[in-house]
Amino acid sequence: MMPTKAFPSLMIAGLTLAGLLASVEAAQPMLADEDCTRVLEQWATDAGAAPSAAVDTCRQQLAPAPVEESEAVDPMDALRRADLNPCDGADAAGSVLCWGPWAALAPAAGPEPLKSVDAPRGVDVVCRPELAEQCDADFLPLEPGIELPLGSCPPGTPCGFATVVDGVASHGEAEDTVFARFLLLPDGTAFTVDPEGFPLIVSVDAMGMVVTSRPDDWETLRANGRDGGEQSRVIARVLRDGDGEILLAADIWGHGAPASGAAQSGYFAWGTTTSAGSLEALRAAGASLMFTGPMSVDNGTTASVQVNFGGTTTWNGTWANPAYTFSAGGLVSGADLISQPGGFSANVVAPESFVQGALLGEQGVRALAHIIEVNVFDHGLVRDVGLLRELSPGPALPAGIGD
Amino acid sequence: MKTKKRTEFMKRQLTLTLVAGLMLFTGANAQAAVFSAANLSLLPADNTVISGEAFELELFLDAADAPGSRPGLFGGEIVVDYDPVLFSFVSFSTQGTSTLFSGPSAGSQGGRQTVTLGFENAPEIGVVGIFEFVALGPAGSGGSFGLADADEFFGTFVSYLPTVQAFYPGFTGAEVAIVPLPAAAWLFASALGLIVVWRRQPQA
Repeated sequence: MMPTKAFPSLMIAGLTLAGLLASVEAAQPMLADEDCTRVLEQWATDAGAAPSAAVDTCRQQLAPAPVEESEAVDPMDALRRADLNPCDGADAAGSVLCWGPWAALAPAAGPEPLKSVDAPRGVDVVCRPELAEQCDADFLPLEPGIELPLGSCPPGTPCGFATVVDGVASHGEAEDTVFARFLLLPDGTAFTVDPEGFPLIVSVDAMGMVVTSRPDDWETLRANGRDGGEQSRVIARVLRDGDGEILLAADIWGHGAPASGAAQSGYFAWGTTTSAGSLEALRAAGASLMFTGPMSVDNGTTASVQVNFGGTTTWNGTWANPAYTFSAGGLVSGADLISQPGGFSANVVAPESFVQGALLGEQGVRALAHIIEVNVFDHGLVRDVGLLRELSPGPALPAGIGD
Repeated sequence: MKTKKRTEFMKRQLTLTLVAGLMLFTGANAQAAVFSAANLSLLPADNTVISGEAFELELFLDAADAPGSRPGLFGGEIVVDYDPVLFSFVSFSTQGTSTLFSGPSAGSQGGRQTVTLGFENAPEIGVVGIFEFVALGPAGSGGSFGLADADEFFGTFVSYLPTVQAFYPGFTGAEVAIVPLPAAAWLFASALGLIVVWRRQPQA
């Protein structure tokens, strides 16, 4: 669970680690914060360089002091902040997305401080250092009147959506399914799931993984790992770049405790949102992009969505299942798509329905991750998540944009 | 004998299908797409194997009720366990379109030897691959081959097309009895030996 990979080549010249460790082991009284910092730095670059007792002692020492009741902040404010930033929550220390509580270790190249954004939730996800480059994106303000139930996905940042059900099967009744924001490390070894109104789910770190080919242009990622009493797994379709980093991923996730049998699981769609430059170029060109593909929970549903860029960028789409068909439409703001009540077909209870999505990828690997919560007359509630691929490569962008 | 085994196997499948149908009828259909009547079985070519000889076990998948498109592709990771005093693992060879994504790797659990392997790209119904074992035990003994999912918590079996969806097949192991080489075979071998010796003797 420790973000061991979060410490890229931190070396302190002249550090006499052995002496520091001896003092930690010999005398339980705490070391100076500076010494503890050095111990943790060395441990971060070489897990065998420090005994676990010393590491634990120093981690406890450098962890933030608990807030006194008299100093306690408004619980609702804390909850809102945790929603905005998983690194502010109680599970921050275990989050693969967070640096950890020992802020003294953050190198100069570490993540930027949180930006404050007025959006419902999950807007400004602080990345682990491995993701910092992808997360370093400009924010486009949301257009007035647009509300995103699961928060915004800023351009050029990792973004994903997931369904969450109790148990290991990933499937469940729509009424028992909740939505979540989903993040995956580009090497596929860890993930987080942030369900609406429930605690953050953090996978075990460094899952073992294998990637194999498929008859289509996807590959299959199988990742599975155990850490103590916890076990996590992902089985997904993935599209990778030449360096083996995952660009797009979709399908099964799970996390639980085999001993107790408690588990949560679901389906997901994940990628990196289209860059602000590419979005602007598409807007300037008045481009239209067409996305299509199966949904993940019920892959008997095929979705087709057209995005029309322009002064006001809009989208419309259809979802066809043997048991029902409906259409929806709405607005695009930055990389975010959201439905409008007037955009639904007549067989949908519009006030009880929404579609939210995010444009992913660049030219050649564009995709649309999205969730649907739709109440269809004569069928009932549908909750699903899907990763749709661009039907044919969209218009070429000016050199240097979206490469 | 193989035909007889297949018949018995089909009977089991019919029973499982009827059970699944009853579950659907009683309203347990929420997970029907996931907890299907799919089955993975070890099928020996014969229930008796000859001591000291190699023999084969087919790994047979029936994923007809699993989710996904048709024709689809299916896969998962299994563990086969057996008594190392009675049997020895030789090899596993995939059949048809099936490929391995892990193993086969040997291990042990609870005094039994295990072979773990992961396969994918298997058709919905057919032989995934063939295990080859050697019978080490003496004539008159016999033993079982257990078959289970390599991850009994999450399960590893999925349908790959068009999207990845999990399913949870049943598992059916195999039992074989170890017998001596038949007396007729001894007589036949002896006769062959005599003929060879006689032919090689210089003619007077």
